[in-house]
Amino acid sequence: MTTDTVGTADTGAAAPKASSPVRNKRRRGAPKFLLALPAWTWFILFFALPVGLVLLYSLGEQVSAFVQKPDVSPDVWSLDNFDKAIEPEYMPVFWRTLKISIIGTFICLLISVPFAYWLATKVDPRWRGLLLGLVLVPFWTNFLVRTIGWQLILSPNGLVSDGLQKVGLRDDPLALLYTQTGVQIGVVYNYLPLMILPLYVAFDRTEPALREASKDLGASRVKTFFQVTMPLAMPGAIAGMLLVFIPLMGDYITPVLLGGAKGNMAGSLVAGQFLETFNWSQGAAMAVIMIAFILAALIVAALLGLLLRAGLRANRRITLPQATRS
Amino acid sequence: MTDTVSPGGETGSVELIDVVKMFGDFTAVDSINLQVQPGEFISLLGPSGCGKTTTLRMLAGFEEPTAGEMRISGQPIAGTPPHKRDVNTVFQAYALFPHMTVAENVAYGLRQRGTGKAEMGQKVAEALDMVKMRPLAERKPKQLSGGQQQRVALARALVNRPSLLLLDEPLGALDRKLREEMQIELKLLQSQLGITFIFVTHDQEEALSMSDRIAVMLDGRIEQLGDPYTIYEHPSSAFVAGFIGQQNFFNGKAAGGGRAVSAEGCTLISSRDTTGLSDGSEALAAVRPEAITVTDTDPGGQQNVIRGELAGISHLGDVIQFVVSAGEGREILSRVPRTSAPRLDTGQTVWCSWNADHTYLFTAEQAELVMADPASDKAEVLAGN
Ligand SMILES: Nc1ncnc2c1ncn2[C@@H]1O[C@H](COP(=O)(O)OP(=O)(O)OP(=O)(O)O)[C@@H](O)[C@H]1O
Ligand SMILES: [Mg+2]
Repeated sequence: MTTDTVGTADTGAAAPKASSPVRNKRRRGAPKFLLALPAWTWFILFFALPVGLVLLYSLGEQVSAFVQKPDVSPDVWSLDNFDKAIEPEYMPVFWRTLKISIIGTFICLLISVPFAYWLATKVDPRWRGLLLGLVLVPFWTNFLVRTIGWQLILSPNGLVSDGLQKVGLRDDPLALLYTQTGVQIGVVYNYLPLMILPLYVAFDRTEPALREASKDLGASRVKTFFQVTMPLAMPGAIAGMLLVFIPLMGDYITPVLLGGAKGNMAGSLVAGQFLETFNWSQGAAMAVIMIAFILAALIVAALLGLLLRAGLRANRRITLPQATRS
Repeated sequence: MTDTVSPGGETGSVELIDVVKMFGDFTAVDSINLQVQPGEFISLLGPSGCGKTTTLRMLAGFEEPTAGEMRISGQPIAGTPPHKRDVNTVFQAYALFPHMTVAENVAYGLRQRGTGKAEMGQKVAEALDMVKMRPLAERKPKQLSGGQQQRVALARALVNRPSLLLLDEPLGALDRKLREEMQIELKLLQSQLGITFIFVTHDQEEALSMSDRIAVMLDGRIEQLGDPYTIYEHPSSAFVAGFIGQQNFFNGKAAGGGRAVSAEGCTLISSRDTTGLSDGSEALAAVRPEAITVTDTDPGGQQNVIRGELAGISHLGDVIQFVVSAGEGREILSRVPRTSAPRLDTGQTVWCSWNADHTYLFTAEQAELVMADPASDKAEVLAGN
């Protein structure tokens, strides 16, 4: 029965009146909804619900220093936690987090674009898999372990400092560990593959024939890259920036291990409230502020991107003279 | 004018001198020599893999020749990068920039040259008018049909007024009717603009109808270079004869002082000059379907006549094709204009006959690449030998 009605549904408008349009509509609609069901369940269980809880907690109040779960009954709801979170004690940490994330995202982009382009368009396909594997090697190692590895490299008697002294570029030990620079280096290292992968895929998909056409029409290699290849790889760049920026904003392992007090980030602030002070409400309010920072940054970035695109389009736009009447 | 200008050094001339291209130890282009006059329409015609695209890519600058010299407008082009060559290409798959509109695609080359906005608008409009794409100037390539994309690709190349335009099977993706229209338009454009065209195709009709000269290629070499008439009427080898138009091939032995081939119980006699045929040697005879008349009465004589049974009649528009079976899998094709076709029925006994100047004879050497398969549409090329 199913099979023969599918046949009539395919013929569309020409289908006989026997099967009503309502039945056809339902038949098309139902499977689509079912297909999306797992995704919706996932979204509700693991995204909407937790975010809702965080919002709820942020309005609540700590019961005592020994009770983790806050009091969230509506009669204690207030914005006090937010007032506290934006006090000078904490606010600079949010700005620093934003700064480290933006700089980190851009450094990742600057390193990844040439590398991914080279990998996707210049490297012999036989070696691509191997090189891509090498990019991913750090991912096979535990996040914590590889970040601790950087402690050894960045510490005053570590590799970088020793190396610079041996070469004679520095006389005294260089302290990178427990500084903002240390965190910056650490996050770029940790998030780089998340930028390289989508960019590699995007560059790999751009057709070589388009680059040749561009050169054939008189564009140099550099012009070809900026006018043809990069615009076509933009989806990859955007995906990479999102994949790096968002988790980077919430990272707390890297700043805790490499940043110390000077390189503290919002993630460790939130974690501290939850794990050390047991003030879940305060932590939740900080998390909400962090989410607000992320959203605001994304909106600003999207607007800048649209503006840039509009500018480029306007620059490319050509007005044809009115067709001559003959 | 001066002694520094080599012969054929005018703008738009092309010279290929012993050009070789190897990929590893595979020879894709094997010592090609070609002189193209300014404003000439020359076709590279040949089966798949014979090196047509490779030759174009060397001229455009995407491949460097392994050996030999190439000159455009009298200037050697070795080492000149593609973007500095006065050459434009219409690519096999068009390669339109998907993120730009039709007008922006066409303007691309002008923009690289730093053309001013007003002049650019003017030129783009002209180029789009030329290919009748002005009304669709604001569309993206994805919103165009294959034929429309092809026109845009053409306009994008021609707007730069290159000395040389390379076209790699530009009409390959179009349906027959549109292709025939575009052939006429393209030829018209070329003669108006006076730009040298090197046109790659594997469609022999296309090459015959459009070209000033045709280079028939095989295995990286030019088998024959000549105007369409010469290529059609005086093929230098059985391969060329079979590739241009269709042929009925007959394997046999030379006889009659190099004027005849006796094959499969009949004698094919030719009034053409064939050098190098000695009586008794292996030889191949070829007769075009359109040279053969089919009758239901014996035309008499023993030469250039084959008796058989009418196996099939097909109507190909204004010509009718007869398939005559002459025993043991031997089939002979004949094509007759509809207006002069006799009324015949399948199964009846018929005679195929033709005039002696329509018999082509080839020595074994000239025929080595052709398998005499009378039923095949095209001569089949034996790969590698
Ligand atoms: N980059 C390359 N590496 C190795 N071999 C190649 C390369 N490019 C082309 N070839 C080989 O060179 C030969 C000629 O290729 P070419 O593309 O010039 O053929 P073509 O005449 O254009 O064929 P078609 O009509 O199918 O387009 C082919 O056998 C092809 O496999
Ligand atoms: Mg080709």
